[in-house]
Amino acid sequence: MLADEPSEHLVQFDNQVVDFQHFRRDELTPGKGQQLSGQLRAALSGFLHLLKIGDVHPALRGVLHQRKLGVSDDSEILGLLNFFKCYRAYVRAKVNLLCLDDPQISSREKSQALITANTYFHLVHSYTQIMPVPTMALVGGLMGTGRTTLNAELARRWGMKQISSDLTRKQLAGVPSTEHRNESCGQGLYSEMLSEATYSAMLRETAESLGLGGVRL
Amino acid sequence: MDALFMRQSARARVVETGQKAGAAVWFVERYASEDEVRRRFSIRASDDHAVSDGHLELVARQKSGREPTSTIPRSSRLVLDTSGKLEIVILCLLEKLDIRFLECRADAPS
Repeated sequence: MLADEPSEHLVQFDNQVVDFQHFRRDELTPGKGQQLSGQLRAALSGFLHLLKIGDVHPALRGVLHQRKLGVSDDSEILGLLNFFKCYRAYVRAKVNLLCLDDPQISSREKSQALITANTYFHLVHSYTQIMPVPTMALVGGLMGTGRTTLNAELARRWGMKQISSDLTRKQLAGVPSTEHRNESCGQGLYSEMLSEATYSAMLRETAESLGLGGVRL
Repeated sequence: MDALFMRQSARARVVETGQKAGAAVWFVERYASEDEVRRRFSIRASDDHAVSDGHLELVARQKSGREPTSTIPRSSRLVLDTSGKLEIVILCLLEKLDIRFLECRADAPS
């Protein structure tokens, strides 16, 4: 049987992608009266929604147990999660590759398994990469070429901040994000003035994200 | 950051901002066939959560007013055909970025 699609178990929290497969619900329940930080609560919430029955590596189980006893802080758990994201993604890539030798699996399913494995290996690679410098990805192209979709996917995979011109433009104009305006180029939402204001707002947000707050743009 | 980036001046301002912060800047340029764009607009029209207002007339005007991206250095520019499935597009992009990272590393002074 083929392994599940990557998206089923991969969830983003705090700008990171986590594979929640193979964690047990009882490992993740906070101890009585414990207050969880927002960051850890978000991570555990993802676990609780998506986990399936499976084994937890003893090292992670130990830290989760300590957390229950109140002798471990959140940063220790989150640090270990980074390691396990890598480990789980690698295992799932390998499971998909094992399908390639199975005579019961069709060639179409094998092609899909190869793509899925490749995706997981890229995910493993991305977990191990610490970008030496801040990185900006500008996604350009005409409308309908899927800029926003790719932008969102890059943000999800690489933990980048996402800045969208469509959203910024509508926020500046006071138009609800999902309200559609069938306007021509150079008119209304797409006037030169609003386009200029949109780029300036996006630049300000970019500068702030890069630690350039206060720089004259 | 996603935007039309039709004008060279708009692209230059963003690149300059990135450079001020010492950031690496990648420009990912997307294109898709007209049939695919038409199909996407038709899906979007019935999607209550879609933010974009794209329609064919707007695209035609944008095409004519678009300044060429050839001024962007090749080392920072990635061109992608996005007519296919998102997963495939992402893989193509990741592979291209991997190659660029290796090229950058090879070019870096030892």
